[in-house]
Amino acid sequence: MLARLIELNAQRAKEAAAETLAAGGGPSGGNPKKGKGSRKGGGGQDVRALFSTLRCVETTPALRYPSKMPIAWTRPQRQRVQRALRDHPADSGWCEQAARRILPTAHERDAAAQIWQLWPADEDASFVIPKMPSGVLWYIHYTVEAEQHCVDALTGVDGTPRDSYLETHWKAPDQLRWVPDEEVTT
Amino acid sequence: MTAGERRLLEFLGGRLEAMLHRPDQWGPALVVEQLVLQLLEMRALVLDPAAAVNQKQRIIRSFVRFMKESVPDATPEPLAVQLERQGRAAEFANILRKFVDRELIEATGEKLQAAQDVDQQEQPGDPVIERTERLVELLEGKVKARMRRAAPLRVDVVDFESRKS
Repeated sequence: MLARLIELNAQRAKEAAAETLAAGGGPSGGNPKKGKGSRKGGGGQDVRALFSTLRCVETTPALRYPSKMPIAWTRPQRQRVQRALRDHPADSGWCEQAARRILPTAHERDAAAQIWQLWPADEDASFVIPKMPSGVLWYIHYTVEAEQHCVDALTGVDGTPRDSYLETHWKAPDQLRWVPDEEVTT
Repeated sequence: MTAGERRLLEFLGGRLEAMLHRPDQWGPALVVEQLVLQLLEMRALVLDPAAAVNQKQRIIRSFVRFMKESVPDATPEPLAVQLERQGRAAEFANILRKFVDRELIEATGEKLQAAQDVDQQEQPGDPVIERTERLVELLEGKVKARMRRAAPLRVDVVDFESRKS
């Protein structure tokens, strides 16, 4: 069974690499999801194709920072953020307090850092529901964006790339709406 | 306001009163909270048909703001969950009632202010006047409902219609 999966992954990686090359060879046409499988299927492939596929994994279009890398906090910055997250764990519901404490540190790394609120996109829904911790209900959630990553109690100090944040941490990610904090006075 | 809308407003007012008076009879606090918010949404829709059909996010935003002011160390969690965690579950109905009243006061204040701003020559069918009339009727219904609850044996409590003329 495992061998079959590896074989399938290798096949998909090969196809993804071929597609990327056919589309012009650059990383901008890459689909990070397809690329993910390619990591397991490296053996015996054309080196150029493999290199191209791996680049699809490591970058996404028009990003200033490699999306899969964690935020490069300095040691004191990392400690400050960790402390804020430890004082406001996910199950406490204090996501806003955490975000407000993290923001100044985030600004040190990224002048454009900001707080976002997550609301249900569909007005017929009441809550936003994270995958973990399970069983919690929040009317809204607060997260800090810095260097194209979101940082909050769900992501931990390293953050999660913003382009995969919703899918990684939320149930019904397509049912969520980003609202800049400064637009809403709650 | 049509007779149907008037009945609906009375129904909504009565149902809100009933839930806030004896929340336990309507289910767990979290359920009651959601029901109350939904009733407020319907009330807002009847009071101001010209407004956006869906008022949920406006009401929830207002509710989150209210919780920040009313609950120490408030979170964006449901009020019922927060009070339960803080060992203050008994205060649930009172706090929720304050929000229900505040919603009405805010709406009333806004509409009355808008009505004051209306040019004297506006026709009676003006939407602002129409909304204000709806609010006045709602307030009358609310008073009736409260008085009925306070004195259930009295049938004819107050004749608001004759007072109005």
